[in-house]
Amino acid sequence: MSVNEWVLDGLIMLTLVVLAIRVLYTRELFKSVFLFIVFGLLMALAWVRLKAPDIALAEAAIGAGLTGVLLLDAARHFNRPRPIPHPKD
Amino acid sequence: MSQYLAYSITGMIIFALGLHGLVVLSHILRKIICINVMAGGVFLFLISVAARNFDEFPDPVPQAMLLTGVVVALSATAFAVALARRIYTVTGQAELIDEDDPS
Amino acid sequence: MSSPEKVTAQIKAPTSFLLGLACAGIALFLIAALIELPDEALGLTELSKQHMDESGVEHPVTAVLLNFRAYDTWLEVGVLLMAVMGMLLFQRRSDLRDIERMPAPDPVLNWLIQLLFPMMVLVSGYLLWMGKFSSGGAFQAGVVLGAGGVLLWLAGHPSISGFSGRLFRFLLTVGFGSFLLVAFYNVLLSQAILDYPVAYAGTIILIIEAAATISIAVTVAALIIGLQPVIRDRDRTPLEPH
Repeated sequence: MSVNEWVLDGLIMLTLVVLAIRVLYTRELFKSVFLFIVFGLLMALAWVRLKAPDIALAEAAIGAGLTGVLLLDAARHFNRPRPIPHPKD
Repeated sequence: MSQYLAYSITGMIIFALGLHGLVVLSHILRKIICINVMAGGVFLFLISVAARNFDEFPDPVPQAMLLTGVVVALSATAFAVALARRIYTVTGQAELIDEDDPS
Repeated sequence: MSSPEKVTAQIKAPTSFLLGLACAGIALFLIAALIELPDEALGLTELSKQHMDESGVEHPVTAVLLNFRAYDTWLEVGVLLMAVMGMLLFQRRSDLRDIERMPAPDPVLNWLIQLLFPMMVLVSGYLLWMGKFSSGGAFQAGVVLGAGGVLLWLAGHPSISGFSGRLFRFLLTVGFGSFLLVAFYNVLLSQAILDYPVAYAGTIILIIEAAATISIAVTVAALIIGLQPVIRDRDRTPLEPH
């Protein structure tokens, strides 16, 4: 392992941890979801470094893409007033 | 310290971060995101264990587990989001707060 | 009701800090366990390499997924099926025909999707075929196809919501069903449940994978499209009794 590779790996790991913290504690829900998508993409990059490029592709498509669509849509839903009033209200 | 060990430790740190978020945060969607972050930590650990000591090809068993794991995580997330939206529609509550808890 | 915009901590700061310490402790324990792992890994690489000849495919991950550990894959397809069933169950519908359609897109987007969707189908088929030799296989192929379905729907096309109920349910279950058929056949011949004859292993795996790809694609698309509001949302009976 050369020094360059260690610097790259170190940067990926550090960014992953910082991103995880930002995902959890960002004030805005939308921003949190966007950061989660970035987190998924970076995770895929880490998997490429760990000799699993095919699974990294799957993670980029699923973890970042499809989960991102799901969560963004849900975040939009939660930021709207709820559609049906509850009968007990 | 090898590359795989460093990545496994990162995975564990991410797992613990997600766990803390899951306990502390109360918004349902945030809890779902926390579970996904925890899953990310576990995946990173499995991938790095598969890659240790293998130069030509990593251990295929953890990799196969991961491939299924990623898809299961997506379907579990989708189901959880569907449940969360239902909870929000019916109760108007986006926060999971224990009402008996005095704090 | 508090605004969902801000981070709301149910737990007060001191408790949160203590919980943080506890989680840090858990992380330390896990890391300590990691460091104690033996340096010489006794993984399953060698074992799977020895049996590659019997698997009918040439890529170790595909061999593990569809042959050595086919049980896992079978049950995993079952988990996907259950997620869709759970979602449809509490939405009180059995297909996606009453989903509200997206408005038709502008011509540029429409053109792009007409270009992209056939490519995605092609890539999906290629990934499925390539799984035998190298990276690829049912999961990647299914996800690409499913993402294509979601894209098509986002552009205002009916996508999987255009399927009739019977077709939709058939496509959802065909992956799980093909595993079940192989298992049933083997039980009749009193063999091990998911044991393929070596000569036909490659063909059987390709057929099962193709079925699983279709199921995974429809499941993934249904899980995302199914969350959209339905037409006549207000007329539907709420789930809870009045």
